[in-house]
Amino acid sequence: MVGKEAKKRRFNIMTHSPFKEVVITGVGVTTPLENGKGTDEFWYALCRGVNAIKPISEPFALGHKCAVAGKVGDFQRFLDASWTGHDRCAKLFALACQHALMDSKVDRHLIPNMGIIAGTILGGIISGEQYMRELSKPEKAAALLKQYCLASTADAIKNRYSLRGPAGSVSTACCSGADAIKIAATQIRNGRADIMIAGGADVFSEFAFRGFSALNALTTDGKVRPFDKDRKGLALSEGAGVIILEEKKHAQDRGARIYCSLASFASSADACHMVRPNPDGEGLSRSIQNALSSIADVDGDIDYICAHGTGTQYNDSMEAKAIKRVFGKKTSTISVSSIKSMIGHTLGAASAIEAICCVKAMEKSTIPPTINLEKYDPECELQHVAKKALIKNINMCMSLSAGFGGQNTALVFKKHN
Amino acid sequence: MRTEIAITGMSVLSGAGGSASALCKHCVDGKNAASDINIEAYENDLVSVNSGERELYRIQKMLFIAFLKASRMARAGSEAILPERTGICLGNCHGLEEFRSGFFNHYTKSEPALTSPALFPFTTANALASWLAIQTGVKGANLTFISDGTSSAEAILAACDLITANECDAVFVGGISVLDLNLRDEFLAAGFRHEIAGMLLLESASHARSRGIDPIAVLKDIKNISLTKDEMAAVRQNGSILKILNKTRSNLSPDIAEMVYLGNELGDNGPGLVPRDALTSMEKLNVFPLNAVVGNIFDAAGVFGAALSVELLDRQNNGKWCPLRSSQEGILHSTVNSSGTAITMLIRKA
Repeated sequence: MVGKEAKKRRFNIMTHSPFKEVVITGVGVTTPLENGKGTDEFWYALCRGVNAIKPISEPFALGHKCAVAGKVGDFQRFLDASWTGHDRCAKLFALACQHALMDSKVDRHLIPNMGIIAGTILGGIISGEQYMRELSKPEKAAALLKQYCLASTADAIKNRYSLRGPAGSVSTACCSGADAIKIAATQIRNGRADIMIAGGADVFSEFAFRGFSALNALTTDGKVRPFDKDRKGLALSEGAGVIILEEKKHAQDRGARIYCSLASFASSADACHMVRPNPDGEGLSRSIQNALSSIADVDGDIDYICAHGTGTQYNDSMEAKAIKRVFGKKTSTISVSSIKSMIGHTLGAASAIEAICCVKAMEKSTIPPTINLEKYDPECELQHVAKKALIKNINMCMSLSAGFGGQNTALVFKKHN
Repeated sequence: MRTEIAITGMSVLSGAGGSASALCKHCVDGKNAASDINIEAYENDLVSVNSGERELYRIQKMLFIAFLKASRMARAGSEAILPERTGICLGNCHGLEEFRSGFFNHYTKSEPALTSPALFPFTTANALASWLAIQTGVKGANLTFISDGTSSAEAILAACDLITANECDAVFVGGISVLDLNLRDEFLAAGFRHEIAGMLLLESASHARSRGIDPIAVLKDIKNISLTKDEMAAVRQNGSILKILNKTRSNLSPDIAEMVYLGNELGDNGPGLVPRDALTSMEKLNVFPLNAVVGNIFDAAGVFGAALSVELLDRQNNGKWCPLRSSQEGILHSTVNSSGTAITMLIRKA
């Protein structure tokens, strides 16, 4: 079954099937922008175009061309003492989860029914680096190894809240957070859960810094300039984004505030290169197209795209091509921005935080800007929201992510009526 | 799950040989299969991918051979399987530890300007699945699961969901476990014995039949649940998950045969490995304790347990001795990781 037939069948499955509708009832972030103070602070700073990427003083950064990063300030004061002894990655996620659960106002007795899907690229890598340094001290090794395990973030949340629903951890490069959201939504669609915690987290680490620096992917002028002609690369950062996904009727029955629905999603692989994306954007365009083809309201248009927009030469031009490939002339009606210009690249957390940006943009009818975008690259000609936020009514928006190995994921959010 | 999901291709590589039936025979004969995979036997198959600037890493070879064998069994090279509608789901939490420690050791000794990026792309868990997509041209959804012992079982579940949602027509589901020499003691303490790579090809039964392929087995009733501490303790004590499932979540026949993997964390002490005693307990309880017989195979447990379940069902059908008593419902295959995530599925002959 190919092409149009496959699309038609998928559309029919999504619209006429017993698959349940998934809505968003809570969001929470921990990023260098608000340093854990809450999603409202994050959103206001984002719309004001605040730059959270700052010079770093870590000894391991000496001698590198890049001397900036995004780091979350003292956020642990917002966590209770039970999180002592966990890796930083788990703590970032825990705080975002705490904010999301409060935002969703889920009754405490309902929380154990929830499940969790967490995405990360390097997980407890700080514990991992410490473990590798202290291999000669076995008495410390066991605890560090447990924190280092990639699944430790999801496990920590599951244990803390005694969750009994579906659980899992996924790692798909920069698409990790989005794929976690996608997999969690699938549990609800298929009737395995009524309510799920989903999101991503990653920390700023020497490991990642040395790796991206060796690949010459890091910015060399202290700024992240997505889609700019003079863009010089990305800035590493850290953070977490968590969404509460819920089956629509379940949310309505408990009187929850519904932000929007997660209308559709799709993933694809470039199958091209271990690091660089397929330059013509074919893989990402397939994710976009597949996500669009399964939306019930085919008359609706995408009003805003929260781009992956890392600020690298390869990604930004690929992404612009993918968007134009799918939307054609309609590209000029779609506002685009990249919040990585402000918070940097939070790796596995990025696509989850950007999903939250879509949710908030729809709620507040405001699109945060791409800062540092001064000279548009002709290869990246899109309807950029640059320098300052744009007030715009958004009925449908999309979050895009693309990662190492050719991973691509598109999430589509629709206003809830 | 509305769509009937079929297994149409299957492969397991281990020290016992290149097939699930070879390892199954080792297990039921009580033999020790704890040796390296004879990769050299597959050099001809690897020629097409092993011709780059550098020799493939061992883990890449294992994964590719597993893929080739499963895909050949399912005749997946046919035009009816489109690359854009074929996905890859892989369980790989620990497989790339050697690359992470290798990159760590490299950069801690190198100046910034002299740090090579060569190893870095292989330090992210999704690298293997992405590499496989590049080699095979498989362009559908590409997901890597990192939940320790339930990794490849979650991959099976995700694959079924991709097919049910019509996002993919077919999905290659893999699980791979190798010994990292830097973590050798921790792996061995946790009960690791084999390097192992397994691959299944899943597709809807109707899609398989439409391209002239008879399913080998079908999967039904897949669940993803989190056990409480008390439930975990009960499962560990009894070696069986059936009673716990039937208490609150299922209504399965109490006579159903079980294939059970109980994971423990890297570095924790694993269960004792005594195949003869394990075989005796199997017949009494109608439970095949995967760890006790095969060892702790971490990420590969889901795929391997599914493949072994199919082999045991074949044994029953062919009148060969089988440690599990037959049941029309098939075998309940369960993987439980150390944090209590449990993925369960019924596997029946098609």
